Parts: sequence; C-alpha cells; structure tokens
Amino acid sequence: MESALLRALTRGPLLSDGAMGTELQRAGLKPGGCGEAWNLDRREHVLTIQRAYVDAGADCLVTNTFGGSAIMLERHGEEGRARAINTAAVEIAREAGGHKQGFVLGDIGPFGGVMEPFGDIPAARVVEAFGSQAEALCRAGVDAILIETQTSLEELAIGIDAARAAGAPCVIASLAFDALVEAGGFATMMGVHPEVAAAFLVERDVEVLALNCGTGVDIDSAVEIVRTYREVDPRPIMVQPNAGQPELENLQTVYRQTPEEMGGGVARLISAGAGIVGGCCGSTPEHIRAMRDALDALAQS
Amino acid sequence: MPDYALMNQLVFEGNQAEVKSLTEGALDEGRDVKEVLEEGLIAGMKVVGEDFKRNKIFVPEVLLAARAMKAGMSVLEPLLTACDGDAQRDVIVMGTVKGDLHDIGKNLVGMMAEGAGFTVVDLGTNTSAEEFIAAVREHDALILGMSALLTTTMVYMKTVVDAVKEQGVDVSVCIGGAPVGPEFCDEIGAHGYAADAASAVQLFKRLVAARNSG
Repeated sequence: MESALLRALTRGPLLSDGAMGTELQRAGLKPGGCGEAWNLDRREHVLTIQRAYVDAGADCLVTNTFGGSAIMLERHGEEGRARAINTAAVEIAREAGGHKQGFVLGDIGPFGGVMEPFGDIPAARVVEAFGSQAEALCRAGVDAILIETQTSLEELAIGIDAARAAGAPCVIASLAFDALVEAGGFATMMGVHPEVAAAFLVERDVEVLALNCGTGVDIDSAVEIVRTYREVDPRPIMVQPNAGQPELENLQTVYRQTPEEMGGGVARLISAGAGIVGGCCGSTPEHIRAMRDALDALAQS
Repeated sequence: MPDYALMNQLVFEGNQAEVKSLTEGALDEGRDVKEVLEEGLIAGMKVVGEDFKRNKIFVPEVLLAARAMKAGMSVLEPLLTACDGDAQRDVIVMGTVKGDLHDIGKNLVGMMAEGAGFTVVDLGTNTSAEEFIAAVREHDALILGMSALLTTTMVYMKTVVDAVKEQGVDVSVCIGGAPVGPEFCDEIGAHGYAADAASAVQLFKRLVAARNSG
C-alpha cells in the first residue's frame, strides 16, 4: 500500500515547513526551555507558528516533537507527559493544516547522547524511547515519520525500526552532515559520509532519503549531497537546509540568508533530485513563502 | 624498555584491556610514572587528536581511544597523586552554559584534556556563571572552558566572561561549540576559541604556558 504522501510526490515536488525551535524562541520560549511541552501548555503558540507556515504555502508540517522522546523530555522532567505531548503535536499540526490537503510528518529527533559502546547510553533505552514516541505519533495519525538530525547509523536504525513497528505509512530518514574543513566533503559528527548513509537507507528500505541542518552546510552543499544521494538511488529525497549559518549581531543571533536567497536555491535543489524541500534552523514563514513562489514558478516553466 | 609505540597504537585503537596491562607492565619494569603517562598514553592521544582534526577519524573513534587512555590512567592515577606534591596538575573547569543541555562536544574536550594531562572538573550542563566561578575558586583552576550548542544559549558566555572580570577572577576563559567562532570570542572578551577537541587542548596548553611565562 502506497502512502498518500508518496502518491503526491509522484505528481511533483512538495514544500515542507521552516524552523520550529527558533520560532518558538521568538514567541518567548526561554533558552533551554522545553518547547515540546508547549504542545500542551501553550498550544496556541505552536498552532500560530504552524498556521503561518501553511499560509506561506507549506504542503507538509513537521510536528513539534523534535525533542519529544522520553530521553530528551527527561532532561526537563517532562518524560511523564511524553505520550500526551506527542499526541497533541499531531493534533495541532492537523488543526493548523485546516481543510487544506496537507501532510503531517511526525518528528523524531536525536535522543541527545551517545550509545554504547562509544558512549554510556544502552541501546535498549533508545529502542524504548523511540518506540513509544513513534507509536504515539502514528496512533495520532501522522502521514510519515521523519527521523531527523541523525548522525549515527545505529541510532537511525533504531528510529527506522521504531517507525516500522508503529506502522508508519512512510518513513523519512534525515542526517545532519557537516562540511569537513580539512578533508573536504561531508560527514556527520559520527563519521557517516553521504554515500554511505544513502546506501544504508536504501538497504533499510526507507521511503525517503533526507538531510537537514549541519555545520557549514549551505544550499550549495545541500545540492551536492542531494546529488550524491541521487547517484546511489532513485527514490524521493527530502532536504531542509538552515537559513545560512548563524551569525551574531549585537549579541543577537541572526541567520543572514534572506528568503530570496533561499528561494533562489530551490530550483537547484529540485534539479539535483530533491522531491521535498523545506527549511531548518533560522528559516521563517517568509523563507517558506519565497520557496513556495520558486516551486510554483518551476511548475509553470 | 616498554614498547611505547605499541601502547600508542593500542590507545589509538581503543584497546582498554591491553593499554591497562601495558601500563602496569611499564610500571613493573620500574619506569617513571610520568614517562609512562607522557610517552605511553599522552603521545597516543596526541595522534588521535591530530587525526580527528584532519577528519581522518570521527567522534566514535575518539571516544573509544579516550576510554583506553582512561584505563591506563586508572593505573597511574594513584601514583601521580602521590608524587604530585611539587608539581600540581593544571586544572580546567568546564561545563555547558546555562540553558543548554548538550554535552557531547564538551565531554569530548574534557576527555582529550585529561588525555593531555590536565585535571578536568566537569560541571555538566546548564551551568551558571556563579557555579563556574565557585568551581574555579575551589579548584584553583587556570582554565574555564565553556560550551554551547545553541545560538540562543551562546550569548550566556558573555554573562560568564563579564562576571569573571567583575569579580576579578584570574582564569583564562575558553569557548567552543558549533555556533561560536573566533569573532564571537573577541566580541565577548574571552581568551580563546577552539574549533574542535584537539585544537582545544592545544589552546589550553598555549594559555597555560603563557600564564606560566607571564
């Protein structure tokens, strides 16, 4: 059975949304605060942000559950509300979408540590945490599970298995590559290169290969990685670059890539092989609107 | 003569059991504890640091090597403490700044610094300026290392630098983390920035040497 999201992808590229974390901070979330808890405590703020993305033309909304695994929530003392937080996130995204035909991507971010044998977190804890998060998201009715900002294949594999076990209609697996200053090229923090990642994801048979975020990775780099993915396999690719690299202006963080610049990168991302484009850190509804315009212009040309 | 080249290689490969047993063997041979530390363990970690910087190896390999280093250190530690009366090891106080719960990078720097012979006092994550300063005073630290992953929490580094200056604490402040860079370091008035764990250790050594010569 093919998912509605994959069916839509056969008709043309889709636009995903922009950043959630930086938008929550603009709405008053304190640094280090638990943005996922807002799904229950300050629901209207999350809804407003996602509505703005829908209004800007996004086809897909990513749920506000990046740090919604029990391991991440435990850092804020919120693990007891894990299921409710993930369920609410899907409901908010559905509501934000209104009656527009759109897709809700249930977000699973990294658990925030390093697993044994390299680190001190037993794999079984991650299996448990991702398993219950994926189950809550799928029960609430997501169109896909998006496992993102991943840097290790071991953790990613646990996420994929969790999504499958929960019955996800579509699995999107996204890695965060950094530009390698000395060696050139790209790899995740844990040393996974894009071609290795792509081969692994194909072997695991995920429906969509993806990349997001990453240090020193701009649109040009993202285009390069999309091409690498494409060389490995023909299946759909999702890409969510940052709005440039964060810079500091009077001790305030700014992302200098303008909506126009990000919109200007869309055609290259699509021609490199991307099927879903969106934004990561620093991207705003204005960036997404510019990307919408660029996609619409492409469709007409 | 212990086979230090082999020890270096085993540290690099992260072979905890073998590193431990070779360390014990070197001591049984009557080698000086500081020689074993320098030539057996620290020299091995140095290669790890260099290869990491050159993107030849990545975080998993460094973590394994650091553990092997620690296994060797566990043998040397009691002896080092006993003979350190005249030569105190230099202390680094480090933590992730307030509001930020990310610690993978900070832990890596801590392990590499231990591997280079520093004593590391790790304050964990979400560390306030008061906690940093209290720990620097308590442990007589030469270096205060701060980490942040988030663009929203990195600005807290300035709060810490300002507090250090206001309270006249004599410590070299170092910063690191994905969003920060040398310009930010200058802007907030910190003493040094490093892009990766290996560079951080070089920075610590440079700052300590400058303090000792100044």
